[in-house]
Amino acid sequence: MSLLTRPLPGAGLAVRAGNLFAVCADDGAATEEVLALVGAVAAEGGDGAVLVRRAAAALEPARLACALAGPTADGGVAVLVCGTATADVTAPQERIQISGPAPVWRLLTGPVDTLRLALPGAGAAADPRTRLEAGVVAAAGIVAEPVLHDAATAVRRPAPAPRQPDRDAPFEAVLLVPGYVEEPPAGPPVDPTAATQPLIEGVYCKNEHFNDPALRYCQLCGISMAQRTQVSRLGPRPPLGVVLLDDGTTFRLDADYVVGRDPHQDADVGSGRARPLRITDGMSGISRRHFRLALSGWDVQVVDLDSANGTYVAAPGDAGPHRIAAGTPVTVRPGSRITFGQRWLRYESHRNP
Amino acid sequence: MQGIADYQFIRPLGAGNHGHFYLAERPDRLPVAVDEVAVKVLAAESTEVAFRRATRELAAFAAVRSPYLVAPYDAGQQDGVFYYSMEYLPAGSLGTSARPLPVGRAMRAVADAARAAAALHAAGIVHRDIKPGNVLLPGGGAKLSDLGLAQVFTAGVTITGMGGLDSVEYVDPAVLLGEPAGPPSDVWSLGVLLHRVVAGAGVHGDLPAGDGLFALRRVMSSRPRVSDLLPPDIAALVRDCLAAAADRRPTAATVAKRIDGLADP
Repeated sequence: MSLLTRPLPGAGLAVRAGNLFAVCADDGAATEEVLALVGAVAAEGGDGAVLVRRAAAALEPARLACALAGPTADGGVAVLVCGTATADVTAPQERIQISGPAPVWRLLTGPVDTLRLALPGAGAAADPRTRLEAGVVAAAGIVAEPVLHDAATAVRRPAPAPRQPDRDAPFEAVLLVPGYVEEPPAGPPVDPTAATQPLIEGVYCKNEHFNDPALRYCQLCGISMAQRTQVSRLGPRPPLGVVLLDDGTTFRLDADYVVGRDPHQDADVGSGRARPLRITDGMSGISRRHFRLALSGWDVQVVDLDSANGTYVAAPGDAGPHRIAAGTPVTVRPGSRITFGQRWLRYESHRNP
Repeated sequence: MQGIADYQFIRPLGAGNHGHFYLAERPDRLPVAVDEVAVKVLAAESTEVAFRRATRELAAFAAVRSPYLVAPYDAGQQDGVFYYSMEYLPAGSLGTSARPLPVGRAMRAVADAARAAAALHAAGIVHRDIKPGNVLLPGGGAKLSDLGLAQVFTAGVTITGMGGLDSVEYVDPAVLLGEPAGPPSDVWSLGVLLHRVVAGAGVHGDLPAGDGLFALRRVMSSRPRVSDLLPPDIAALVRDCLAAAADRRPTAATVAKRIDGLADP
């Protein structure tokens, strides 16, 4: 990630090492310590979260006026302020000011436009001709510009409070108080996710874990499969991992999913052959039936269902997402990100390495 | 929210993994001798199929007689919104206790939660959501609350992304990776819980509050680490609960017994 930082005029010291940066009042040994910490964490390859956590531990008694920040490994920004320093964050929807005096740290997961770390008396604006790429300079603040932005890794806020039902609507209720339980449960409850699992060809490891015959090690216990490769058998397919949605929800991949604004329209959802995953993006980027996550043998595939705006896949290590052809199944590896409209999900698995 | 069905809400009590809690006046209909009850309103839309399934799971939960389980009172739906009510225990939980509990007291609470899990497991029920916020602390003991019902309302869901994502650190990583939940995954959660109350930390280090995605990736990508601060016999029990092979883990009943043997010096 490239990061553009500019110093703000005024009294104090600003430091940048790698993508980590800080501003600090000139206050003797404590200042030296902050400057050294930024360099040390950057040298170790630590991200903003590491910097902020280590600084929080070091600063507690000091209350030195300083602010530290840096991008986190997963696309957000970590910020810490202490003493009279402040941090102003401008994001697409909001402006946040973070201030002390006790050390306060925040991990911002959403996209950030600008981040301004400042000591009291810092100039209002940075000279656009200046920049701080590395090292220590005399400055009362630092402005970091939009390059912190990575909308694709933003995590949505948790869902709001539940909807208030119409209080005049009829309701039904079942008493659960002992002695009043109206219908005694018939046996233990069934796990609704334990749907009929199709039989596929695979190999059992010594510990009875069912595996893809193409793999040399059991994906659950890591044991070598070398002795077992000849005894391929049919067995129920285990879950192939999970998909992680951008709001933190995860879904088990033990069935096909139809993803879209109104997936119930899909004939396979109606018949129970696929589960609906209803996702909207508040704009109109997602089609009613946008794409299908299909399990095929030991593979997870993405099939674009002729969506208006397309389905994009980025495999780990790819330079960027690419649009897949409608109707053609594309096998995805764990870590792949699937983008559709303004939303995304990621396939995570200990299988299919 | 003002209320649901014939419950009038007094005030919100907070958010859980897949819904919100409210304190409510007891409707005359409920045959229990209390004035106030806790009501959980689920965020997911209720459907007829999900409602039947959820009431069946809750009825099975209610049929398990254990002094270590929070008693459910009533389940229902109105206008497509599902709720259930249960006894209100105002003393807080292992998750909300303002001051850290004395270690012995906290360990006895984990043992009680393990006894509750054992009673559920004997009835063929998996709790799925054992974490500090669900271990309530009435009087001197503890009661396990709030059966995880998310999977009933959204087929295939393993985590709902709602409420405190701190709960991720208590979930057996195999479940996060798609394996079905079972009694051994509850035992995993008990192990992490025990570690948390004794060492004051989780087994995946400090997970950033408010960044669920990062927490999830950390839990899925790092092996649990048992703190050096734990006394050896407690560390051994935690390690047994976190055995990679689910069938090597002790039962919840065994976990309770072993904690009982350790809790009082």
